[in-house]
Amino acid sequence: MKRTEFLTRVSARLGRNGVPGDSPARDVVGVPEFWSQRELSERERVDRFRDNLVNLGGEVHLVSSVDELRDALSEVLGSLRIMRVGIWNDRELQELVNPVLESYEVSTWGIEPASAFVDMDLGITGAQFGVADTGTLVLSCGGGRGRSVHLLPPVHLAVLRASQIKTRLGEALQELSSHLTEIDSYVHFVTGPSRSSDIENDQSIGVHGPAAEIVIVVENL
Amino acid sequence: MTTEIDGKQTGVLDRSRLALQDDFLRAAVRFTADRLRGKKRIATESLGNWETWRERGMQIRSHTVANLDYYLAQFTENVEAAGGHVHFADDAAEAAQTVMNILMEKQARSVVKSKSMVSEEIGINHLLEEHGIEVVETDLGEYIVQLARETPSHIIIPAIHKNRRQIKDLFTEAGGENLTTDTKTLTAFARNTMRNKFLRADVGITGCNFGIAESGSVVLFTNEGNADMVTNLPKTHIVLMGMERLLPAFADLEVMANLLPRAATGQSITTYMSVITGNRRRGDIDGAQEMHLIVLDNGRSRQIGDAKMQSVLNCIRCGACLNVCPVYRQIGGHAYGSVYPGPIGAVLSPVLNEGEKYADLPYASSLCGACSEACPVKIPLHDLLVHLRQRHVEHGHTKTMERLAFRGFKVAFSRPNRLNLAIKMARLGQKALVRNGHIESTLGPLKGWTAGRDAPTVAKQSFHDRWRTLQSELQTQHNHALEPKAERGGDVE
Repeated sequence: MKRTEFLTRVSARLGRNGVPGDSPARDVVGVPEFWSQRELSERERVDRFRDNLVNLGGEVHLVSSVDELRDALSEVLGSLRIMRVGIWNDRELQELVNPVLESYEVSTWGIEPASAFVDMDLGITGAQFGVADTGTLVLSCGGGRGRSVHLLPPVHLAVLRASQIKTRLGEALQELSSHLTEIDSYVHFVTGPSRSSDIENDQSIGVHGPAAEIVIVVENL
Repeated sequence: MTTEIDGKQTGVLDRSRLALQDDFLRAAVRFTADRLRGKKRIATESLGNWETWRERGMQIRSHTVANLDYYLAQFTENVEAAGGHVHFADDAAEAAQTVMNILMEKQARSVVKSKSMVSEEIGINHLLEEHGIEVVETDLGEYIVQLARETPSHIIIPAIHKNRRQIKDLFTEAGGENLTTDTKTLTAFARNTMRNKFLRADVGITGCNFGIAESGSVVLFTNEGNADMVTNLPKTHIVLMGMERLLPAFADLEVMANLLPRAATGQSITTYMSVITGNRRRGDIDGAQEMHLIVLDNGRSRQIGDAKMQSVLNCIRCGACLNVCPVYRQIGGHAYGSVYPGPIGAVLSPVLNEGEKYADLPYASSLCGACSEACPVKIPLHDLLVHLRQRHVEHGHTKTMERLAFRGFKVAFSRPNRLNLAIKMARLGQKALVRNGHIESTLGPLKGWTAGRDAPTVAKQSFHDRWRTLQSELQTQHNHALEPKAERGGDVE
């Protein structure tokens, strides 16, 4: 069926000749004011982000220097007996973590072929935002920020600055809305590990996506 | 669909009778519904102001549907601007054919799917299998249902009617070795099996929870991560979308992201919310190279402009109405015999498919109104059910006995002397049927009522007859109360 025919029928059902040229007037847009006007300090945002993510089975490490970040990362990789690590091709992220990765088998997105990322033990990414209300990471994927880096391995580890944590989901969505022409083709909002309750309502973790979701939040950076 | 049993056309009543004999099904449905309902209550209470949120949800959805031509035009133009291809389908057959055409062009041999109610609506799996194309449902519950060659029994948790032993047997048949009934083992089998399918598949098919008009983005809410594999790993991604599934802007998505997961599973947000805008960009190494969006009407546009029915298009497919419905709790999803079960299915199925096939579904309700109260976008479901029943009667689809009974009712109740006469006759006529003070007849016109319960008898004396005596008794008491009381004191305070 043709587009015009399809749309004209909808217009006719709405009692008009064709699609209106102007955008419809709106009384109500988005969330209620009591929701959008909440203000939290950075401390409160970080704590809320951590509490929510931990509640869902995620793991959060709060660190306040680059050295602490590297120690935390090193500990995670060691305790999980990780061997192969995939990572975004992102200079800032790589500078932060590379010294720790020297003793691991590392594949960088866009350098090694994409097929290599099928067999990673852990994927390291940054994140555009965190959301305190829900413990969510916002991963805007494109270019060196490949989707497979965090989707395919059993463990996903993200490095996030405390200042990137917003109070509510709407603030991250507002960013997308105000840069409509530059929006990446895939923006992934990730909250905790992959889960399902499809077998007798019994929760299982790591169904298709990662079974472990680890975030290192760096304060004062 | 399960509308046929042993090759015979059945109604919802026949199918319910079968379902009621399945004790496992009834226990599983009740358990799941209670669990989801309980989680929803906790999630909505902790959010607070739930009624304000519902009102917002209703306003945003109503506005979108009332301007659907504008938003559909804007949305589809933006999908194209982001590199996607847009197709419009008038009905299920055209949508299925459009999918087939894309698959033929790509010479696709294997397809992976993530959960999509629209794909059930257009019966695509069956068609693909006929053409020798492998099609795999990758959502854990949908995979179980597919292996059992059945249809989902719940919008959100498709395989609630299957127990872990049955699931283990299905997975063993599908090639699993040394499986136990342990959830972890079963999940691991599904993960490993699917991982290979994802990497090999030529095309991925998903549904669409919301389309964002201002950007042309398709938004998916999922928990397992399968939709992200389906979207990103095969070269071609096909999105099946009901034409009403839109929101004007990202700002409105925040409202739905607060409403949908809470109403569906009691989560404050699903594990994954994926925002897909067109195909992969230049410089991207993964993601689908080609993205096709198929917009489906299939009876939806008929509801627009119908003052009573338009609100059914506000539905966000959360399944909350199923979980509170006393009928769904007893009979489960399959007894509805349609893609969409529960109260929303009892409204949607007969309006999307005109004719007799689903015309009896609006009667599969006690009209208690729990569905309307549970709906996160305030669809007055029980009003719509009554309206559909009314339509059914107006179109002359009532049994002769029922029509005669209501005609008799009208004759008897329109004049007092006729009513008195009718009552006197009933009092005489019931004598043969009364046992222990009530009527247990399982014969004749009362059968439908008395099969499951007893009918009361007509009282020896009607209230109207008793009123003369009652009135004088009341008058005496009233006069007595007005007499001054001798001992009444005035010093209480």
